Amino acid sequence: MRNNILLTYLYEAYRIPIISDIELPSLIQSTGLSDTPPIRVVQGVVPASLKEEPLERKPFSIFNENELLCSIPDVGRYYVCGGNYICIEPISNNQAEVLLYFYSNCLAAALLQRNLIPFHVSGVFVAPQKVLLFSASSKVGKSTTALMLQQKGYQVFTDDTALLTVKENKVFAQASYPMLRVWQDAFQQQNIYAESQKETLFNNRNKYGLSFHKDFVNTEAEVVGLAFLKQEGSEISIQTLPPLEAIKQLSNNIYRHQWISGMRKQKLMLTHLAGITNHTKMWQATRPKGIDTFDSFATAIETQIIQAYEY
Amino acid sequence: MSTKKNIVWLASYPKSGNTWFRSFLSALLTKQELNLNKMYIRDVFSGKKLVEDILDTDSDSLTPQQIELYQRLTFQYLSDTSSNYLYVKIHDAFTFSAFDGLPLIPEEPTRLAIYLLRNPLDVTLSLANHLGRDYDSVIQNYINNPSGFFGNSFTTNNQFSQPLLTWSQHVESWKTYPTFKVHFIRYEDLKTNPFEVFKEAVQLIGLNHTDDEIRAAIEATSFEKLKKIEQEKGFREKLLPASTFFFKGETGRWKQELNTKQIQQIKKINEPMMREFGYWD
Repeated sequence: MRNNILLTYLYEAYRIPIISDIELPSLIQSTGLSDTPPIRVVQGVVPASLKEEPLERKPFSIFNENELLCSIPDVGRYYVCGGNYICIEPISNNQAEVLLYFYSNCLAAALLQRNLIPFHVSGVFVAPQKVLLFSASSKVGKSTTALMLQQKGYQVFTDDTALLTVKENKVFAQASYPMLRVWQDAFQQQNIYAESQKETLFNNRNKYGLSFHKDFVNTEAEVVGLAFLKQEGSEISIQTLPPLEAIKQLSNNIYRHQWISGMRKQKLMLTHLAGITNHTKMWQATRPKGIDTFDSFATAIETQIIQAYEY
Repeated sequence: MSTKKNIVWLASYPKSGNTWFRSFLSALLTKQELNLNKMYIRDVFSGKKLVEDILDTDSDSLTPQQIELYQRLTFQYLSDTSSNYLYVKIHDAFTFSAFDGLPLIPEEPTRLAIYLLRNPLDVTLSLANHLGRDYDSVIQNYINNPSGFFGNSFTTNNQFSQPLLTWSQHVESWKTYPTFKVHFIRYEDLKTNPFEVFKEAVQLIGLNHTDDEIRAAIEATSFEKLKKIEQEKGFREKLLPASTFFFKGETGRWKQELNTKQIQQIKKINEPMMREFGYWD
């Protein structure tokens, strides 16, 4: 939605309003109903340094509790402050490449600055307003698992990231934005998305974006469980995960978990992890390495997790 | 610019004793029972996760040129911010960037490299088991292939592509090009004379350990013990579910397994370094 008077674009990500000077095509247009304070996105000159003393300096990023400055060589510079302001200074002429770091680093920094923790999860609806989430680091098969379950009739909730919150002894998830990112071999195993719907994400890469704006549910959903995905051994197996192991795995799957210490969010993280693991079921779902088990793995999740419980 | 030289590369062509050496060093440095899946030495040059965590980026979005630059930056940063030596496994041949002509492996943060090599005739057998391929395929695609590589950046694995070249070119690249010291260890010498060979490497790295500590680490990581640990607890670095990572561990098994044509093919392409390191006769 383009607001012609203010010359801004109005979007939402994680149900947070975003008022932007530039087009952010992966996000959904704003419904205008939220009373959450917005994030303002501008294109301009990024400051040379933080206002306050940095708490951590890394090759491409410096940050403290309330500010992050990120400089990606030949791509762009980014400044995120107070959880409500993002400035983008493009270097590359490839806007899609410039925006990659907005969707990933800038949004994650803004969330953490608001004391909200994004997790590396995908998920599908297993009942109205109830979702099963899959957590794993990149390349283990979160997106593919969601896509294979969509093939079996389960609507995709989110891909890659979601916010998790605990309210009245229940865990809720808020999806990020409607974009699946899948590899060509996973794409070939499904027939929901047509070849023409594939969006090339990066030049010469074998990975594609699949938008699901039309089916995207932009409200919180109750989390009925969380399956941690792993590639190991020779068998597909699904086992209940003890709470201590679940906390460890969940902490490893905080999106940009490497920022937690430098942004002084350790206490917030511990409280949050304990709340999540105490109030939802957790499983370890393992599939073999080096063998095509896309469909049988999704079937095992369907029979042993989704159909085994009443939601 | 790097100011510290903390990195010790543990370099090798695949299936040449690298995991054995890392297991030994892990046992020596921690003095704890070895857990193969949580080894003290677990950094890998080609690992995507390190680059992602250090540079706050997603590796799937990187161009080949960015990958080269980002790997160098990652290991320079790790060296600069560490107060200890960092032992990093690497299977890449020592090659140079097509974009800027600089070595792909950063030299500034390097303390030294330990290069493990093994008779390519035996490597062929071990690699065939590891990859689940026949000997001819391994000879053609890896041992004798000037374009040979490990990993594939365009699929969903967790490592960047690693140039291997032929077996001989791999050895020669590490012998010829690095400006830092490279200490060569033959797998066969580790088998026949483990104490002396491991002790020399430990001293070269600059570690201070007693003979008893070195003997204890050797004992804790014998081939039979590593194989037993893998059988009991599994090993994540195993590529195929049906195979075993610690397979036979023998030397000279090629004499029974390879036919004359296969032996001649390997010797023809890999003669220079086979002669140089005593694998010719």
